[in-house]
Amino acid sequence: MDAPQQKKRKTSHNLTAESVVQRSSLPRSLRFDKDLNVPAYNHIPNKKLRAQLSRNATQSARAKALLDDAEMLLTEEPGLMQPENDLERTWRVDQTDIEHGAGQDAGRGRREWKLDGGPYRSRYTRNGRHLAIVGSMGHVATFDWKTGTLHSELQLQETCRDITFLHDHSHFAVAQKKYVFIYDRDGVELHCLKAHVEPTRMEFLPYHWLLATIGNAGYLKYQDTSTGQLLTEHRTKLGASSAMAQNLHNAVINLGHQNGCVTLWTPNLPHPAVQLLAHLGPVTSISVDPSTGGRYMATAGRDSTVKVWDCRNWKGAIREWSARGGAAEVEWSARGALAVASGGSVNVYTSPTIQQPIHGSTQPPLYLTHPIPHRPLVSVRFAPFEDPNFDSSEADPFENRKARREKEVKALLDKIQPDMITIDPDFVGSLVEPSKLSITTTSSDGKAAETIPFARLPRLERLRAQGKADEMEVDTDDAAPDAQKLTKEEKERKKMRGKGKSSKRHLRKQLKKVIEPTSIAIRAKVEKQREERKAREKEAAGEKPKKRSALDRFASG
Amino acid sequence: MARSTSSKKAPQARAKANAAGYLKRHSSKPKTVTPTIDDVYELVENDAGRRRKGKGKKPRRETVELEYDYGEDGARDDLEEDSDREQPRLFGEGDEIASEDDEEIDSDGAFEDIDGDADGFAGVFSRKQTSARPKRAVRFADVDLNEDEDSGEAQAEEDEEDLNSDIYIDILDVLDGKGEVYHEDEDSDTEPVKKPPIPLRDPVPTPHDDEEMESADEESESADEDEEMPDQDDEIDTSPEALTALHAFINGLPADAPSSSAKRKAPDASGDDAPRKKRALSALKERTQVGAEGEFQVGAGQKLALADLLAPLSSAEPDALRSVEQSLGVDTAMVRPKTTGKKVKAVSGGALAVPLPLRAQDRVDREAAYEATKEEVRKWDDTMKRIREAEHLSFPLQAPKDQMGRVSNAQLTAKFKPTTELESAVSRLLTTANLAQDTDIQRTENTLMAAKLSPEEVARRRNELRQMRELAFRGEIKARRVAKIKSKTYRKIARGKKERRETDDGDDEEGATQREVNRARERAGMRIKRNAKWNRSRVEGEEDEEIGTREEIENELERKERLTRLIRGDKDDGSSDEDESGGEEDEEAIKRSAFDELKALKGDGETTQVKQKGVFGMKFMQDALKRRDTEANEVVDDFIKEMAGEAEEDDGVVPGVITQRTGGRVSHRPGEETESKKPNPTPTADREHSPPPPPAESKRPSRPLLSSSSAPAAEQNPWLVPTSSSSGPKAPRTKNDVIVSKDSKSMDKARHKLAKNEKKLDVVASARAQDDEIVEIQMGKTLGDEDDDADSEVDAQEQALKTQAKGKKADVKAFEQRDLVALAFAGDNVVRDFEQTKQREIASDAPREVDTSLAGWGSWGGPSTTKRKPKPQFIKKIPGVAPADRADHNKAHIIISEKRDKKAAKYQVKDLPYPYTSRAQYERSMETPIGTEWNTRVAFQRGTLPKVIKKMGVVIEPLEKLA
Repeated sequence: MDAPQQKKRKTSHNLTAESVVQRSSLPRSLRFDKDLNVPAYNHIPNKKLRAQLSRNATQSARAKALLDDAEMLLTEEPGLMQPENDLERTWRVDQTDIEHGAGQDAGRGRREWKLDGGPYRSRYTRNGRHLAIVGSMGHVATFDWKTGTLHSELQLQETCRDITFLHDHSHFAVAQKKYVFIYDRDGVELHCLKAHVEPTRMEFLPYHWLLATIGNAGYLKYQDTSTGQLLTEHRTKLGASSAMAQNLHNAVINLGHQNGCVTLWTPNLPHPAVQLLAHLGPVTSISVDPSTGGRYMATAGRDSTVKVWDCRNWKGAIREWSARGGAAEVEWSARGALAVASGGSVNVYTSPTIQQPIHGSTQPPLYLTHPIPHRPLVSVRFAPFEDPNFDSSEADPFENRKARREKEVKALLDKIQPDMITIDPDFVGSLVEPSKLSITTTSSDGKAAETIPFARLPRLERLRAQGKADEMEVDTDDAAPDAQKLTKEEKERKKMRGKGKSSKRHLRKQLKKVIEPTSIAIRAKVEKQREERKAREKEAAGEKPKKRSALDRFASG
Repeated sequence: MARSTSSKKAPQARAKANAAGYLKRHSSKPKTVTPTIDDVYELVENDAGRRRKGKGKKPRRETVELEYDYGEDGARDDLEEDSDREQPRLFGEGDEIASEDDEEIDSDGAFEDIDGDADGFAGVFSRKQTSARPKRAVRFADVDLNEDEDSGEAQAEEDEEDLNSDIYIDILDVLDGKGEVYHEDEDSDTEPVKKPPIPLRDPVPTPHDDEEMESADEESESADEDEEMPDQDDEIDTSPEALTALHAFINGLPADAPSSSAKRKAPDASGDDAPRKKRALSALKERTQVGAEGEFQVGAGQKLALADLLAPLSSAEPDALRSVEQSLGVDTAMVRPKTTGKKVKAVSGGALAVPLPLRAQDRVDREAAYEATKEEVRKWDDTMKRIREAEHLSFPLQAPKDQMGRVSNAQLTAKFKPTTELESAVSRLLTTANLAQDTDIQRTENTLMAAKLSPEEVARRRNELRQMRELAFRGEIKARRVAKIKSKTYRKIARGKKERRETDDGDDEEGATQREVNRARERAGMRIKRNAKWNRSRVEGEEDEEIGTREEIENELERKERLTRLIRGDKDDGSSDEDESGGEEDEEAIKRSAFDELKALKGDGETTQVKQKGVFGMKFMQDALKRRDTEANEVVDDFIKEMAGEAEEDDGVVPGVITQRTGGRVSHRPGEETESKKPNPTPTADREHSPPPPPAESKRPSRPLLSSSSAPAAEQNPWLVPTSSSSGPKAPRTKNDVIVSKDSKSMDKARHKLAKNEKKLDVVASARAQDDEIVEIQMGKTLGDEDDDADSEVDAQEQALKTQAKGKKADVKAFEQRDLVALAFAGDNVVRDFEQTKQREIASDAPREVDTSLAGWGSWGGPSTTKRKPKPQFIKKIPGVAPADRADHNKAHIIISEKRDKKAAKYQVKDLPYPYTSRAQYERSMETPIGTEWNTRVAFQRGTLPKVIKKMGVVIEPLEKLA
């Protein structure tokens, strides 16, 4: 072609291409031009995959950056009391002191009701606005504890063991002498759940709309409150249980048994997913820490010990100490403070010390203590959403009637199927782990290992065989078994020295795999030190340390 | 030329040529159906275009080619090429051609140069050579090639065209069944005069290559012209059919062929070194041939004009011709008349050539069609790439027409040209003001800004210079000023003393009256301060005036003070009263003012500690400056001490100790008093004995530094306190830090060290406090070690708990309780039960083998029979989880179920999904939540943005190609 003609064509190209530029690019409002540190997948030959992966990575980095940006708007920070000097102790601070010292609103939060009718158990709604109490003699009341408006008050005239609200304060269930009954807000009996015989404890799983009960017979039963059907019943074979807690993170029900075991249940499995010998006596109370994604569990037993467990590696109790006054009642707050009600007082311990592994049975440093002159203390609950930054889309303490209704409908639409409950809640959509099943037994007759034909291999294996698998980013889990197989000499030989030496590698892996509170604390500390140093340098350079304000996010554009 | 390139070049080029040919053919379909001689030309034109396309870079001799190629022009070669492609082994001897060629090739030397691509050509040449052989007989057309040479420089280009001559005919001949000339050619092959096969553009041409060389020269000459030609090329395309027809026509002239070949040989064979032109001429002479004169052949000695060649076209394709004419600049009017006559001749030519076989034709057509389509489609490449790679598309992709017409402001302004008078006037104004373009505006503004800033900059520079000067000579200046102050003070004091001595004799009464008079004078001289007007003027005054006023104020204050003192008539000042009689200040005041000045001087020096750049920032310069400064300071200090020391000389100086200052260090050494001390230590008496001390004096009246008497001295003169504290051996002090030099005393050093230590301790303590505040983590500490730390804490807690539960003796009870609990659950065997449960679980999960053989089958029974091993085929292996693989391996207190959760399995992905090539990739793609609960609005919208968005009800038109 001639040069002029070519040029002409090129311009025409550009015109057509230019005409689609606007409509083939992102809307301006969604563009995000900050620089993100995203890995380049240059090693991947497939252009489409590369584009997809980098797009994914960018999206996740962008989402993270935007979240960080938005979190700046939460100007109020939750906090704890802190001693000003070495001589001060937070646990010396009295409730009355707190009442005087705290803000007026917080001070008004302190309530006291003196009720007859035996030990009471209590439960808050998820938004922390309403409180339901049940006395062992059959006195049931639900009320808005902040305004003091009573919704319903019943005298059931029979032994009641537990009470729980269902999805919100419009319904509540009472574990009565023989069955579980469901009442509406006004105290009208709606249902009698005859399948739940002699219930002792109840839990309501809000995202699955499941009411789980355990009774004296030792049957764990799941009732779907949206459909009304009894979903499953599991025979625990461990007798009566008087301790039950749900893990808010994965909706697993934790049961405490008479033989000191704690069992973890899901509706899918007829056997406990995890069975833990927690105490040498009956387990009296269980609670799971909601602040750390259900990572820590506290148990109290009749052997008058309280233990804190790490639910991810189950390496043993990270903390255990004996509570005065026998069987204790434990409860984690949404912010990670552990309340232990035992003897005649309620003691509160806070993270991170409560989660630091320690040998021996020393008590963690106490944060608060509150003596109560009545015994026994059977129920202790934290009121949710008492701190300034609550997520109103999750649970709104100030919702009105319409909002409540809408939320109910929305929650029904968002209901999670019960068979999605597993120990690892992230399993949905994940790739199946390679099976642990093996057929190698002791009596091997020297037969060659079965070779699976190529066509029947899983795709990843096929890719590996073809050399197309991306080995650049190998999971640490995959690498681990290889490391185990090495003999000692091989290890010594392969040991890397210097920068990437094995200990560092190990540390890195450890860091990646297990996030200990200590490591978090160390990291935070190092971070803080670094920031301080920077601030000092800046100050030395003559700059004034500037606090970022919420408006700063607009400055950068 | 064309042949050589097209056959050797990438098939793409060929395909292109085909495409062009195809298009042309299709455009001229009706004509090809009934081919006439006119058509031939038209088609030939097509083919030329094709060739041109094939070559791309070198459009060459267009019309000329037509003219001279007569029978064997480009069309042929194309044809042949086609047939070559189709039947590559047509002649069997494809590659066997020897390097030696007949002299025909020599004569065709011009052929080679065109491409300049020796290799490519070589290959082609050798290949073509074989095919060329059969048609030696048909060589008649070559004659004219050499004929042209004598036609002069004007036709230089034409010479080049001949290069095709020998090779072009070959395939056609074969197709026509004229291969019989072969043997003849073989004979000619054996001739001694040979030329290397393909020395294209040989830098050192052999004599035989003369023609080649010449043609090459000519080519280079004509290169310019050639470059201008391309357009013509387009027009004068030729198609294979046309060429075949042409060839057929040529073959219809049998008589020429042998003669021409014979004749051609002659000049080549002669091969002498005679000047080329001459030879060419002779050749021309020999070859003179009377043939039909026209576009195919020209009569000898007749000059062939371009118009002649174009003439036949004019009737066939007037449009095409017109364009050619335009491009060539040939006068159509001239051409027209000739055409008719020539055309008649041409028509009388011969039969049409045999068309290509249908299959071949179809293939060519298909290829061409494909090329054309591809070309068309390629125009969309950019757009489609964009669309394919876009993250988001919103249909319709092109903005609607009305919006497309819309132009931005920038575009409008860019296009704008002033038309009306007003507009032009405005634009002229703008251009003169350098404001016409945005960039101009920017520049103008910049310059303006610079102009505005310049005075400041100048000022800054001046300041810098001044500062440098100041820095360089600060020490000296300071010293000079100090000296000045000193001398002034001494002088004043001395004068005062002298006067006093003179007037001291007067009695008291006289003195009193004198005082009174003085006071009155003073009062009269004093201005009234309440005067508002004066105040106002003070405020409104200019700056230098302000300075004046300030001085005035100061003077005023001083005077006032003096006045009050006069009124008070203090005793100690009484003596000084007399001093004032001479209008002179009292000694104290003199000293004070001197000290003030010195202080100001010092302060100056201290405040001007600025960071210096350049030479002054260097260490040695800094040191030197510092040294100078120190020297000046020393002088100042000495002076101050002297002045102050006069007062308490007698208290301060230990008798018998000589205090000497040498370069900043004060040394006390025992020595004899050179001067006897006055017994009464009154200051007045002192003053009498303190003449301005020359520096050389061995005993200086100085106040000892660390003597106990320094404190009362400070009390006596409160305004001296700061200086006294800083007096003594003094190291130069910067604002912040203490410099410990060798000048400073060991005591000082120690103190400094102490302070430093303290500071360090402070830092450590604060760091420790901070650490305590944050987290109490000690990496090195083992877990067990924490007990001692924690114990105190726990003890405290226990204590607190105890106090809370006072009177109940809870602790004792609790202890008993614990024991009781231990006792109560001692026999429960909880742990053992749990272990057993775990063992059962492990066993049930473990892989195992089951013997499925039936008892009694295949074996003998009886007392003496031994139990046989079960046959392997009857052993059923049940897969399981090996105990070591269990998650709860080595964890005694826990059983983690290894059973598969079948119900949940449906939510998992069983195999790695398609595009991903590793587990990590897939998991990462799933790890980022997209819901609103975990994302900000923007992130959520971006994360869930559909790939394609279309508005409801909007017709989506197909993309339109914009020219």
